[in-house]
Amino acid sequence: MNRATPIGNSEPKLTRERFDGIYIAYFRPLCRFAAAYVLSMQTAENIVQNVFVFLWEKHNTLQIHTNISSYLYTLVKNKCIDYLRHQKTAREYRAEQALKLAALEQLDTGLVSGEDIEKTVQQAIDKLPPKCREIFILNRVEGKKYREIADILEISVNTVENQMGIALKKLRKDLEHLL
Amino acid sequence: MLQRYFAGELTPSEKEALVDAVEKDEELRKEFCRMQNLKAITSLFPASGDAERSTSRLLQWRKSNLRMSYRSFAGYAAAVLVFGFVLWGLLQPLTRSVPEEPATYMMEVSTTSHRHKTFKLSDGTIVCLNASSVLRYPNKFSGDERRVMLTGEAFFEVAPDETMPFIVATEQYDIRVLGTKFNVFAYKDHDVITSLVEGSLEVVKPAAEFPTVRIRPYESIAWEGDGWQRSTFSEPDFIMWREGIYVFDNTPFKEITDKLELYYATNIVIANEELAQYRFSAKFRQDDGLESILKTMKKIYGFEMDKNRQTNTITIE
Repeated sequence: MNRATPIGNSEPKLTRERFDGIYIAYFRPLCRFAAAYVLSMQTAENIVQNVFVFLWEKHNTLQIHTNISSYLYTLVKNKCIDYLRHQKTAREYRAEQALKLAALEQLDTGLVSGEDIEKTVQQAIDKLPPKCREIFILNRVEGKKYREIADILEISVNTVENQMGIALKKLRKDLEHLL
Repeated sequence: MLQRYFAGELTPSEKEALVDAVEKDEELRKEFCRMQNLKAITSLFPASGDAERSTSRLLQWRKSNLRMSYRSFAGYAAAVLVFGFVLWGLLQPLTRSVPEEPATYMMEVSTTSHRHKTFKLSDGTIVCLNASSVLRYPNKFSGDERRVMLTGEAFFEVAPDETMPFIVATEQYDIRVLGTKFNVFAYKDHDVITSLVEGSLEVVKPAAEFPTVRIRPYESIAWEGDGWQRSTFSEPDFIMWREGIYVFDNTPFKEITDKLELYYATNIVIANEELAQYRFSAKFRQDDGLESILKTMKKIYGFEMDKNRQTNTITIE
């Protein structure tokens, strides 16, 4: 699946139109990305919105020398780290949050390597066997529960779980260097 | 187990057990981090409906900025619009500013259940925020008023500025002052009580026909559904929380636990009506924590208590 890429490398400055294009293409995926770490979608949306507010305020002067997706993921990653470090959480979530923070700190968003993470991820997911891929996308991207997926595809919950296991194993291998 | 955790298929107790296990095992921890990051980067994959939802959010943002530019044009033709944006999602325009100045934005200070916090606002006002409370305020004040928003309890020592009234907005009403010392008790779903220690203040019910009411030192005022309720106090013991001390003077147990519920963000159920009405006089340290406070009172009355971590409820009988 391809996403319309709203920005070319030739022109580093952001016009209003290109800014809007970037927002439309990236807002939701970035929210899902942040929500994997911060425990609530509401917080994730706020973090991503603040990144875009920052980007808009700087759009006349900002020169982005890397691909826009790496740049955005890095901004969101850093905001999430800030948030996780300073957020005082209820005791029962504290250990979980510490684990998420540790994971995020070691995540490579491609800013240093210059790798286009988005492309790498898309290629890895596209390579999955069709059934496996469908189940993976329904669960991880569309946020559906195993039970719902089983109903949609008319298969058992067990099959869903097994297929997810296969998908995760393959992706984990293909994307190992980023994790 | 990890797979089911990241699929959101674990019950709270399974989750707790997993987190415990991961914490103790170095290898498992590494695997957790990898699976966590895998989950995050694969969610970058575009989903159906992404564009629609992003677009509607963008339009919402643009609209709030448009409304702002209109306001600034009407009032301050010379001022150039800068995006003021309420931090943390309150989609509400904030302010205008001239180009060289940094934008005004909302700040938020919140406290956990075991700590109060004292800090200064940009105008010099000192705020002491009690446990489990939130104060929102702009990084700098502009326009014709100094407006802050409170949920929870706070003590204000407002820096005098006659040209710019200081307003504490709560769920129920606004408190307008020029320069004074007062306590506001405004936890969610509770009647808001304002108690004046020094100076003078008035309370305003926004968008209502009720007249504003002015109170004097050592008076409290609360909004009770259909009208203002005034009372007086002689000892401002109840603001000792600023030193981390909770003081209760001949107070029914139910009233004490109502406050402790708010301060320690927990639920307390009293299944003994006689105990609920039993009056205690006591001083506790905030740091001691809820369990120690209840244990102390238990020594006096001799009740049983039972804590359910899942529902965050303490049952006392």
